[in-house]
Amino acid sequence: MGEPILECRDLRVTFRKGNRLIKAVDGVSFGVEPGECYGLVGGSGCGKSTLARLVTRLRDADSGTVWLEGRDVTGVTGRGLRAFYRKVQMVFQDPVASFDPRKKIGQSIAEVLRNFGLAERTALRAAINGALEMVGLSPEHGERLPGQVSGGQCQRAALARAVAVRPRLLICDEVTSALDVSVQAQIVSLLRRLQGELNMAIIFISHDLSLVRCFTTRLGVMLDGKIVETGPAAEVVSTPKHEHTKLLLSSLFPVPRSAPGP
Amino acid sequence: MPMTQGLLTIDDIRVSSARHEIVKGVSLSIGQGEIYGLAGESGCGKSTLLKSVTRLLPPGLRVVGGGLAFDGIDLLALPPEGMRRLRGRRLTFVSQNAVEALNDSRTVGAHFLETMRSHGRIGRKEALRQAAELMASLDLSDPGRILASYPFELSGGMNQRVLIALAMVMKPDLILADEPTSALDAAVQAQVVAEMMGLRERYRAAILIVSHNLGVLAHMAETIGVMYAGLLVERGPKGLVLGLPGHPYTRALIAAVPDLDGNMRDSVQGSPPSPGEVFPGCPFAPRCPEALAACAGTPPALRQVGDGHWAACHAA
Repeated sequence: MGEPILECRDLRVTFRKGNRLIKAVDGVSFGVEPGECYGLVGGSGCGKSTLARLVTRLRDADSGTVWLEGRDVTGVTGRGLRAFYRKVQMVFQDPVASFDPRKKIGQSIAEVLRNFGLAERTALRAAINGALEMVGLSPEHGERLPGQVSGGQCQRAALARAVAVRPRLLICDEVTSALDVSVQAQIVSLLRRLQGELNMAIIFISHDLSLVRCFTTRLGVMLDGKIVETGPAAEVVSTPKHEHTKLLLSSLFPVPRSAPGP
Repeated sequence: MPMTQGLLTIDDIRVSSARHEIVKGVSLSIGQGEIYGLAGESGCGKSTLLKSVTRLLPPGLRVVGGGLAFDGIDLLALPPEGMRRLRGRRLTFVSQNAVEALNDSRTVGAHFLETMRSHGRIGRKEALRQAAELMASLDLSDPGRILASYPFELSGGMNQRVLIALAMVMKPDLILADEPTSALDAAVQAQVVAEMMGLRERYRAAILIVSHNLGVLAHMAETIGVMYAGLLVERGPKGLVLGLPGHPYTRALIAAVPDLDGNMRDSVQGSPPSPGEVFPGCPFAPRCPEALAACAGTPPALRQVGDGHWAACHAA
């Protein structure tokens, strides 16, 4: 294995809930290779979203470190944090909530481009349209407010904003959970295409084991703040080792695709 | 189209808001003890159809045409008092949201007492004994503790199971379940699905279940209906609808579900239409990979494509 784009070492976070202490992330270590698609799967409360917040520096860990391209970014602030977000972007479950509701989608994309100095004022319009085009939206969508497009289109817009800075790593936290299944399939196809075109790594977080299996090459199964099993996606689902992975697999309801028999 | 007399017969039902039609003429029939799964994406009208049967439509929505017959009773002609007596006893409803359906200031036991005593003469002790027995049959450990608990003291999964037990306690003929497992974790969902099937075996209750999860319906139902844009576009025995789908939308839905072999296809573009969008022809035509010239102009009627299997598609 080469040098990972991102590496987490022994991350830990404890929450206080009433008089109980909850180890939301309990000693998690993993690495993601450049251009790789790594999946994190688990039920509600397993710590996967908290882990995403630690990795994206939206929250500080109690202990442990996060490394980006071989540099410790655990405590970076200010200019260092800005450089971090130039390389690491994220998309969440609720795209409408991730936009300023009073700003047109194009304006929000423009803000990101300006923040990172990625487009001259004269070329801004073209850069916005380029980002929209990359996710299958038209310039006309940039003129609308986040509440004026469908859920699938808004998630595409969130992706446009994230990939506009050409990140090396994209973190997707339940990005299709609020979408219909036909739209989910479109977003997954789009992510696959973007990953190839931009050669970026993706951390794909979801509660849906089948979905994670379809999209990622390697995945980790989380339970109670720990990664309890990790390996190639196809192998983990075909020969699960941990009891929790087996439980998740036995809880699935597959759709039979052929061989009718009423 | 011919319709056999079942336990519940929905005949060309139309539900409308002040501005537009949400359910645009749906007919289906459910037999005694049958599990009927209604699939479809958001805004297709499946939950509205289900609620129209309970006569508990949200404010602003009303049935504007068609008929609802439950065991020979015309539900639309029934006075509110008659409907109230039917509902909760012979015909019960399970919603997706246990938090809204249960009253946080009353114990689970109080919920059972209210349901059981408003539909029959039964002593408090006997009612609680029967409730505990039902909960034990659901593999809920320590039913006594759960009955004494308030909903906020229980987990989401536990509350959903309480809701299902409440819907079962009067041994109804028909349970209408609106996304009963959608808010649950995979493992809890599997448990609740198994419990619902077990209760069906025990009490021979028919279940009309609405879900966006095709896999859950494939597992539970004998018959599957697929809704799109307020219309039933396909219905038939599960094996035929999933194995030999007659409608391109059904095919697209099945292909879009990710499986453990890594298959998942985006065979249609665009989003499901929002309620109120009007189509001169087939509502799926704008997204359909197989659309013919006729599809944009004339709405297709359901026609038979197999034994008990119907699809509304010009190309079928």
